[in-house]
Amino acid sequence: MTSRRNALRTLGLGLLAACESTIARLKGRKLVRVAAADSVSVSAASRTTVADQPMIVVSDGHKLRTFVAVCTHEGCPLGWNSTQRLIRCPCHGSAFDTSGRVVEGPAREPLTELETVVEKGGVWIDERALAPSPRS
Amino acid sequence: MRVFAAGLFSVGLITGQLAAQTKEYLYVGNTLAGTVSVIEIPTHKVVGTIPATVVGNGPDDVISSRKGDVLYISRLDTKDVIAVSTSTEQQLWRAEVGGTPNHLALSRDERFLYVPVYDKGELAVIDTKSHAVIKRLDVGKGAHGTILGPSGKYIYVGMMEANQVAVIDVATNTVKKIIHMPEGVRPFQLSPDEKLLYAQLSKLHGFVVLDLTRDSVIKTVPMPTLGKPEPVASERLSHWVVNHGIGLSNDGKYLVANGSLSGFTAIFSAPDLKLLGTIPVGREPNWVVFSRDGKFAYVSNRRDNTISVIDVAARKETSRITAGEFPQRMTVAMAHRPQ
Repeated sequence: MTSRRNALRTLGLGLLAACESTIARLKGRKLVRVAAADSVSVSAASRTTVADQPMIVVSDGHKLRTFVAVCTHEGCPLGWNSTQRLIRCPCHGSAFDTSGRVVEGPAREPLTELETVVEKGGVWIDERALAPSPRS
Repeated sequence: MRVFAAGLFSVGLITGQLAAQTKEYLYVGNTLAGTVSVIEIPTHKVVGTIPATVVGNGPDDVISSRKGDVLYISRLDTKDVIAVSTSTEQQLWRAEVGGTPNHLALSRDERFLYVPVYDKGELAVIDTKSHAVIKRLDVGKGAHGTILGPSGKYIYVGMMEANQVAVIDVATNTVKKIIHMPEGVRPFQLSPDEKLLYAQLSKLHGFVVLDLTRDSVIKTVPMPTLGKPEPVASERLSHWVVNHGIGLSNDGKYLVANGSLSGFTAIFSAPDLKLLGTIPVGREPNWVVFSRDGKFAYVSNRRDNTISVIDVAARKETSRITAGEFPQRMTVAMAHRPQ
């Protein structure tokens, strides 16, 4: 019974994920892969740079979320402190939680979140969300 | 007697070995990697890395004791300072400072470690024997850079948000005076006679000269634009940073200043501040230190994880060293590393 429920749940989640990406593509969006889904967990984030834009993919415990990894204080690229489970700025110490909210200043504004699709073992974002790096 | 003599011989041998192993190193704090790269001078080879298991948590500044036996490292994530032995590359002690620590300075006798606490507007004074914060001085919002003056009598603290410099009397650990500045104070240096303070400021593509005998800015030195439009800072994208990183050679004859938004560094003669040359470096140069003999200046390029080695006399970059992720502050020390 449990295994059947699990199978149905997996199928349902798979369909949902497929729907997300299909809907995105039907809307004419081109998706860009930013991480392997299994590289991100509650304690592990994935950092990458796409089109000169630093990105960070984190898990908030329920879903994977992608943020522009640029501090809203001074524009510095952000890192991940796995012990604290916080996104941290190497310039003046600002910290953001896995929802992108400021938990320590001097930053005052939350991080920019990008619509995230998880499918085929990857984490994908809409290519149109990419903007040139502010400090490039 | 024979045992005593043998003991003396052994001690002498060990001391001699340690002295023989003592070399000049450049220590580079890699803030995103949480490590410290160790670069031998003058070969400029990376000979080691103090790992994130020892450092970690966003190292912001790295300074060394005068003997070179201890590194003091401020850490952004854990709001503390750690002391690390250069001979074992292990942590000796740790002290929390209650806020975000920035650039450090030591008193001449190394009894006190001065830690500007950015978000508290304080200068925390740590007793290096008890490892405790023994005093907190109100110095102003955005306490950022801290330097011991060449006389050893005063600590100078630059405030990023409060547009001022605080001068601290080391003998009493009290604020002697506050000097108002035209803008937020970024990296700065002091002339060997401690009469002039050279400061990079927010929004300024250049640096100012503050006369400490009159407490007034007497000169603004523009940085070259190299035929390009002058770089413009903004609050949202760079918090008004234009230039970050200024160094003065030990003899006070050369001043090296970074054009951080423009990817170059400039060499000036000092104290007349004539531009001698500009040198392209890596992306977003952030800090400048000199080798002990003043022959080389080192510039950390934090956006491409490299260190530019500048031959000061030749006015050119002789090599570019790969460090860890996001290299920022650096210090030069005579040390003996673990074998």
